[in-house]
Amino acid sequence: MKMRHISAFKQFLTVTYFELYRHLVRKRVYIMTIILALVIVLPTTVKILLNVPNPEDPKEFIPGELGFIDILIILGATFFAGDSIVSEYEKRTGYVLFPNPVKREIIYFGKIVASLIITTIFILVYYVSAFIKTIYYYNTLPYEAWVSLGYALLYTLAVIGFAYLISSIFKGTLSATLVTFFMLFMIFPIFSNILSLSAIEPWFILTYTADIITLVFNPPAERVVKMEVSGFTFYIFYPDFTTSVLVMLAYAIVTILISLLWFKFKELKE
Amino acid sequence: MIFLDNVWKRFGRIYAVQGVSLEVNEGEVFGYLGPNGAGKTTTIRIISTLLKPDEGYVEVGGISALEMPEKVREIIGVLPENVNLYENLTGEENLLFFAKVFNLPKSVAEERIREYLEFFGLENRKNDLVGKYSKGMKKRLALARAMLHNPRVLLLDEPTSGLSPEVALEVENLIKRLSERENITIFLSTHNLDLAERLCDRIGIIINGKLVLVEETRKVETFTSEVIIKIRQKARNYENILEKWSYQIVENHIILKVVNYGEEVPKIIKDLVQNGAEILEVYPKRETLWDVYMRVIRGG
Repeated sequence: MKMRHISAFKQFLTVTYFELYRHLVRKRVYIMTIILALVIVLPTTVKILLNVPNPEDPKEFIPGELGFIDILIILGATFFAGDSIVSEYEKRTGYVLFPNPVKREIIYFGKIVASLIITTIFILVYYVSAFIKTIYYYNTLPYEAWVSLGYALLYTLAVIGFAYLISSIFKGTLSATLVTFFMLFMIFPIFSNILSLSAIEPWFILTYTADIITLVFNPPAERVVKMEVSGFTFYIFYPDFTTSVLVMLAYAIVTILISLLWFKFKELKE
Repeated sequence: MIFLDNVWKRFGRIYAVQGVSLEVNEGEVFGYLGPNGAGKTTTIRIISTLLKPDEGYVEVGGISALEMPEKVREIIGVLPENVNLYENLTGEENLLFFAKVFNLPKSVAEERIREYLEFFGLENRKNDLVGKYSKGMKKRLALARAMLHNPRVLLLDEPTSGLSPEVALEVENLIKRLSERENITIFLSTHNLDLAERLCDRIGIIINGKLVLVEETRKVETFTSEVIIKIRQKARNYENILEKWSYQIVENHIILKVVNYGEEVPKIIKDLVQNGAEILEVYPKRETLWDVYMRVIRGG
């Protein structure tokens, strides 16, 4: 029997294209657009209404404009990655998709690339808005802005990898989405704060590393600040850039690898 | 075309499939019958490469499903019991996605999609979101999807379950038309015995994971050792006439178990008539697929 040659690359493009299209027709994209519009417009509007002057240095201006970047990335991962894998099992679309001559790896990479593209679009719009405002007010754009964008994209990759890990392991779309959100938005930061109070730098916590996205504009002179209040000693840690980049990379590689293997061998049993 | 040899599959402590061996010929419509939880769906998932058996060998179209699952997937079309296509895509977009997964050239994909949308009566609803389709329409769309790449084997898991009688009949007719139009091998799991009787060349009955019967559908309906005598007027002392045989009387029917039909039945008829019985009809009792199925699942 003559077999048709099926190109893996074309299949990857097909899965990516349709995943992206499916993201674009979901209500979540509208919610994310509204949130993005709010975080772009509101701070500027409030500053204008309250007549708050802009700082003299653009490097002090941009971090304020990018103040919601980590939240946007977490929301992007929650909305566009949190249920990507688990929905094939819970909504049983996998019964139709998996018996096709397309490898699970191709489905996985098609999905994750689509999640990255759609989240990156929102991140880029946010950055472009901050860049435009900076150029408008200062006629210049510090090169750290591009470094910050690079960190933001790397953080996006790590966070989406983490969301895919949750999505591969969990059985329900709602639980996977909620766990992704609360882990990134609450559990990691709380854990990070507890460690800081115990004088342990939480360098290995993913959300802690996100601080480098805005710290790059004004790196702190000291990475550890010791404070004494009412007899209690507190520590404030600032992440190291190299360590944070390596931690983000490690999160991205490890979570993507584990979730890929989990997805590859996960059987449809229901 | 489909070959299973001593296939076993266990989920935890439960054996879903126990040593199933089966061969389905090219162009054949094979009905896989059994009660709920018997192992029908698991067998279909093993053939469609969704599940790996714990033991045994599976081949589809001469290709090992264990060694080359992707190659097997190229020649099969699968209709799962619960049809779940992408609800936020239109019917046409769903078909286009799967056509592209198969790398069908654009012109071929468009032609096939148009052809199958028409064949399955979905042409007018092709631009509607699948989430707005009725169950029957989703089933028809899923059948169209399963047929898009001209598979040589079609695996249908409960194709009419959950459908209203008229939609079930519609789907049944579509399967019949498909089997007549294309020389396609159809492996059909169902507990709708009438459907199996009408559609299938052969049937297999699976119970508790074990395949207990494989037979040609036309041979399943066999004469039994019983004869039915329909009477208008009972004979005098009919108890004495019939005492040698095991019998029961249900309304105006005498159901009699005989050993030698040709010798015993004429004698009984003669005795009954001589004793005043008015006989309307005499015929051997046939065992239907339903009788066979019930006998088999009750352990007969």
